Amino acid sequence: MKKKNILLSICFAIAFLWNGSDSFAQNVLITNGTVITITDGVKENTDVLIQNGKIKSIGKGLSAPSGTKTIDAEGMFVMPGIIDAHSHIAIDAVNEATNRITPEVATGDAINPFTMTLYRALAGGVTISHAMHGSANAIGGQCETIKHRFGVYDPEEMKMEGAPRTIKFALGENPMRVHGEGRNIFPRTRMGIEQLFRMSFSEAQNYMQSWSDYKSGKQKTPPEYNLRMETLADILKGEILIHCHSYRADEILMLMGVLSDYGVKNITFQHCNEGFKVAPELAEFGAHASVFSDWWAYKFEVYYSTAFNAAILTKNGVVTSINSDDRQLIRHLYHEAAKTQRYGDLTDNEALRLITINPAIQLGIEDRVGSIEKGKDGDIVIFKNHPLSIYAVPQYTLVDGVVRFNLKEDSADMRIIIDPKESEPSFFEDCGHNHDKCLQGVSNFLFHKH
Amino acid sequence: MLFFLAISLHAQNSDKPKRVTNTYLIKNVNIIQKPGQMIDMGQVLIKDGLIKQVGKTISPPSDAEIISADSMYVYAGFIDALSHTGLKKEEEKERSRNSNPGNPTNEEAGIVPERLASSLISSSSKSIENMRKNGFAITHVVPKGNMLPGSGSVIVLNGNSSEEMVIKDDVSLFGQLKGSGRIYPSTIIGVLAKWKDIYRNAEIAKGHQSKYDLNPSGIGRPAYDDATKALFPVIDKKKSVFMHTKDHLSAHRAMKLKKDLGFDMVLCELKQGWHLIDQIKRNNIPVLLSYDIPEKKEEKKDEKKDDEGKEKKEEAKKEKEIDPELKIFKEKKEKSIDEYIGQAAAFEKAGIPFSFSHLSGKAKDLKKNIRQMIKSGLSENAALAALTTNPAKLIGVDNIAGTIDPGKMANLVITNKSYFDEKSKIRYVFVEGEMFEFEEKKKKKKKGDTEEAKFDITGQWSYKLEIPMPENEGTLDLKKEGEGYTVTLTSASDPDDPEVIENVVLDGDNMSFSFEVTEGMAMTISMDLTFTEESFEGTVTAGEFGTFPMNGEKISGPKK
Repeated sequence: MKKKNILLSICFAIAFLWNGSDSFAQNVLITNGTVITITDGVKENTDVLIQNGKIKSIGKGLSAPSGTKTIDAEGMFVMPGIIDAHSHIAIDAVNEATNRITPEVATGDAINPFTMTLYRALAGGVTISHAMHGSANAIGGQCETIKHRFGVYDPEEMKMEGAPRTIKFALGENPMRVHGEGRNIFPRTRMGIEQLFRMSFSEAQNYMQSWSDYKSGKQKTPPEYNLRMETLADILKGEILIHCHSYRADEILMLMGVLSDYGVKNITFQHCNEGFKVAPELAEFGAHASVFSDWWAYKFEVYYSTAFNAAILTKNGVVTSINSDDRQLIRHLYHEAAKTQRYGDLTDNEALRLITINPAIQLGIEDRVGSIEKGKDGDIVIFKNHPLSIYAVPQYTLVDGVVRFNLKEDSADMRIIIDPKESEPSFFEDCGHNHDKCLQGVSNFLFHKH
Repeated sequence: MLFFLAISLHAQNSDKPKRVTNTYLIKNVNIIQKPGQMIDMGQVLIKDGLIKQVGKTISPPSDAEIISADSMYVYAGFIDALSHTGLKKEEEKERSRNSNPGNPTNEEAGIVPERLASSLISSSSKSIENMRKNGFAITHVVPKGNMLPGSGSVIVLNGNSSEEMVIKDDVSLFGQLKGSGRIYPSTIIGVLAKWKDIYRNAEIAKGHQSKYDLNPSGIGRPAYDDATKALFPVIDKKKSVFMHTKDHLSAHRAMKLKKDLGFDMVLCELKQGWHLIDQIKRNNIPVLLSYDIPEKKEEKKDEKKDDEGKEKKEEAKKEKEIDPELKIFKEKKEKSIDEYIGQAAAFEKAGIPFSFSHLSGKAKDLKKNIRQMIKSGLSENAALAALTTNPAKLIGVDNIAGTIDPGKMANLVITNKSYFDEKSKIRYVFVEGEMFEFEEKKKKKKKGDTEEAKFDITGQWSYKLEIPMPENEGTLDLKKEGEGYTVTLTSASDPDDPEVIENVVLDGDNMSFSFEVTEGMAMTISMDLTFTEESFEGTVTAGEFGTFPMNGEKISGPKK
């Protein structure tokens, strides 16, 4: 009997190793590069050793165990993998736009590890994306922080294990248009959207109360289980980070007010187009901002805009990131970060923080990624030319020490799975205009009015 | 015309002329009792819908119709592990304009697990006949719909009413990761959230109900809807969820859902499952594979030989050579096609038993596609198991079907050659003892498109009918009269009463005609004969009794 138990536990141990992140891990020594650590300055002619997918040491003349792959980075720039705090890539559904609140849905249920956009993002040095629900609903779905492990078949392996839960909220024109205008239902105005938050949170409080009454024996009839309310309750308990689609300053203040009333603290304002108007208030609340460098005027509420937004927020002490929200922008976020030097005079490190450690903080994964530090994940991008230079070109992108992009081995068709009926090479794949967007899947509601 | 009278005798006491006798003896047939177990040239006796005896020699009961299945093959009637066979055509429902897409009724949302497939069956559905003629005797039918279309029923593919056809009701819960268009849940993320929501809610409801049943004092009365209650047997693992998961990702999502919620599940209509083999094996998940596989295209050789064409071809060839994108794409695509076709073989190699489901494959392509899979390494035994023993076990009918053993339901498929042979044809299908016979299809030619025969067929011919009667020989006299021919058929046993058929058209080497028999039981006799200079072959169809082979040789021709 004892023997059997021992055998069993060995089996479990093997199964654990097999399923754990270790299965992706690789040992790599990157030699003689200019290492941009983000949190500990820039180190010339320095090696970075990655073992079992984690950064083991940073220094000069490092020796590695035999069998370690070596990448010669002489004359190149080694920086932490870029993190995009707002994208919609690698998921098969973006919006469950049928209801004005859908916190129960999760993009993590719809990960598609075969999307070409993932590989193209790797070619732009991006190793982590925040694959978000869209902005059709005031309270949208839960989002997923994914590692760009392009090449795996199991969608679960794309998830960054241990990353905090996050959820999408949306203010302004999108939820007003989809539900108010589109269906002629509440909420139709910005005022309505505020009340929708308050109503939902209050309902969730009642839900929590009825379950606690049942569990304490005060009430013998079980309440109905409701995944929507369960998720809202988790938000109220502070277990889920909010990422809210927002443009106007008045709305940003409104939501901070609502959250204060319900005791919720963790929020990142996405887009945050007028964040520069309320930067001190954001800093005081502890809210973060994730912005575009200079993309605006695509709808009425996005006209009052400035390319100085990221710099103003940064100077006011708001943790700020620059995101893509787009399959094309995601390929050159380093250029987007560089624009803050033209508009706002940020230092190299301030600019690079916008696409590394700051988005990591916003996603609650800064202890794992976002800088080159001992013990952190081996997520690295190696550039020819400085990443903030217009001539920067990523040469290698590593995720957990595994080379997932190598410019020299960039064969013509990188698809993992090809439909047997497919008639075109990969160049054309995922080139449509309406994918990976905030309002993906919503056109039905906008053009077919009841 | 005695030979036809002889057949008609059997039918005299029956209301249904179709069923001549309930006893059949199939003689001299290769019996594949189950995959890997064969009796050469044996006999199968069936009576009243059941297999009575299987063996080398059986003495024929007096009431048995004898089927001389010389050199034919008999298999257990095929079992379809999952399909929509037999469902009535659904009426188009008018969507109510006022429905709130965010908070629809269960029916609008496609959540109707309480709906029984048996309540939606029409015994006259064409799909039943179609499955039957491709060898199937039993189907596990599930309703159509969106996320939870209803519960499955096992039916036998013959009967006058759904009540008569149902073997087992409410055997499974059919699930799909499919949204309801513009109604919640509309997307894959909505569907998966809704699954978790209703399942966990049903778990609580079930607990509430059993607590209340034990002692209702102080507990609110449980009043749950049918959809919630329909999930109770799934929670108790008395019923499996048959989940429609054709591609890699949907299978993954379904397995994750199963892991999260804990129900028993069968992956259905899997087309792209080869990367999941380890996971499926580890979790012991039953699988139904699709037989809808892509076609492997052989590149056609360009036959143009003129210089210009050649030059162009070479140019095009060069272009292809220097386009690495296209080259790699083509290689990858070919590999992909091979993987789809090789899926069944890969599952067999991994030791995972599987059956076939029929949600996207066309029954008429079944054999052709299985042959492709066999070319890719699937064994005939595994293929046969996927059509018989495996589905029988999975849907819980292995005690009554799936093998040719005494006591089991008389479901048989009889083919002229091994089923897996390229040229095999299904000749008979027995469903619960009822015989369905299928004749070989002749190529039909359009009217007015008749060809002149390349030789003269006039003269006297002998004929022989391959039916189990002694009076089955005679002569055919063919005379050219104007545009057509006159056929005089004289039975050897009744030489004084010849049948004369006029104005018979010869189309190429094929001649088909029919005439009425009025003595005994009235019926139409049709003949479809194909001639060579020396002999002919063909069939004769005697009303509803079936179709029999007929052949003959030329005795004498016209004097030149």
